[in-house]
Amino acid sequence: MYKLIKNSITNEINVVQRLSDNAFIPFDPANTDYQEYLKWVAEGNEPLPADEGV
Amino acid sequence: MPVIIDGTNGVSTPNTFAFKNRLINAQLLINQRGVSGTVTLSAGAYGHDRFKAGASGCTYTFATTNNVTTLTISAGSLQQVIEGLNLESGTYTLSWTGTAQGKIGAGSYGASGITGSITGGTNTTIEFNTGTLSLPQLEVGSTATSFDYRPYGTELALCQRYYQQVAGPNNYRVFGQFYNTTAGRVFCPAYVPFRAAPTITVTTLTGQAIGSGASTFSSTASLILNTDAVSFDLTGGSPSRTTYQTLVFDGLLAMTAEL
Repeated sequence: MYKLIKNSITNEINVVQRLSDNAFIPFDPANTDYQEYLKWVAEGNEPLPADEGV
Repeated sequence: MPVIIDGTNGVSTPNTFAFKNRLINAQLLINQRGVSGTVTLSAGAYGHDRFKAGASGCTYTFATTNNVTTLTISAGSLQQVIEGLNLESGTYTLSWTGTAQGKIGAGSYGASGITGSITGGTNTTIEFNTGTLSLPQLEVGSTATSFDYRPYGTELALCQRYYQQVAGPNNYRVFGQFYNTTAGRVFCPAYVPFRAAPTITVTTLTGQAIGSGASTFSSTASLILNTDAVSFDLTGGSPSRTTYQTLVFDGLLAMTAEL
C-alpha cells in the first residue's frame, strides 16, 4: 500500500510513501521503486490520498 | 607490458587494465548497510553494496582475510545488476574464486570462467548460487584475467552512485534549522550524484538543537528528493525550540537508487 505525499513548499505531489517500510519514493521514472509503484497502480490499485493542508 | 601465461591464471597482465571489471564492490569490502553474521535477505534486498538477493532470497555468511571477503552462500542466490551505461556489446567472461556457480543474464549456471553475450546499454544481471564466492569479475572477452584490485575510496564512490547512508548522532552532513518552535528542515547533499532520484528511509526521528540539546520529532514531511541532494522536514518536535535555531539530524537516513 502507498500514500501520496504533498510537498508544502511547492504544493505538488511528487513523492509517494510505501507504507510497508515507510520509504519515501520520488516520482522519477529511473527509480526502480517508482517503477514498482507504477506497476502496482497499473494493476488497478489506488494509493491513499495526500493529507490536506500539509 | 608483462604478459604471463600459465596453467593457474591463464593469460594475465598483472597490474594493468584498471577498471576492466564491470562489477562494483567485487572485493566485497564496501558494506554501507552494515550487514553482519548470518545475512538473510528477502528477494531483491541488498546486503553488501551492489549485491542483492535473487528471486528466492539469499542467506550467506562472510569473512574478510587480507582484504579479500569470501561469502558462503547457503541458500538462494546473490545478484548484481550492472548498469547498462557501463556495458558495451560483446562477449564477456565471468570469473571468481570459490565453489558457487555463476551465470550472466539469462544464461545457464556454470563454474568460474563462463562466457556470455551482453547487449550494450542494457542492464545485465550476473548471479551466483550456493557455495563460496570471492573476487568475482566480469570483463570483456572470452578469457578470464587477473583480478582488478581498485582503491577502496574509488570503489566506495562507485557504490555511492546507488546507495548512501548517514547515521547519527551529530552527523553534520544532515543539518538545517527550525522554521518554527516544533519543526525544522534539514538538507543532505549527495557525496556523489545518485543514478536516479533516491528513495529515502528516515529512521529514528531525533535531532540536536545546537546549544540546547536533543529534540524528538513525530513525523517527516515536505520531501525533496533529487540526484544531488535530499531535503525533508522534521515535524512535531519536542521540546519546543527557538525558531531559526540550527538543527542537526541524529537519526538514520538511507538513500537508495539501486537497480
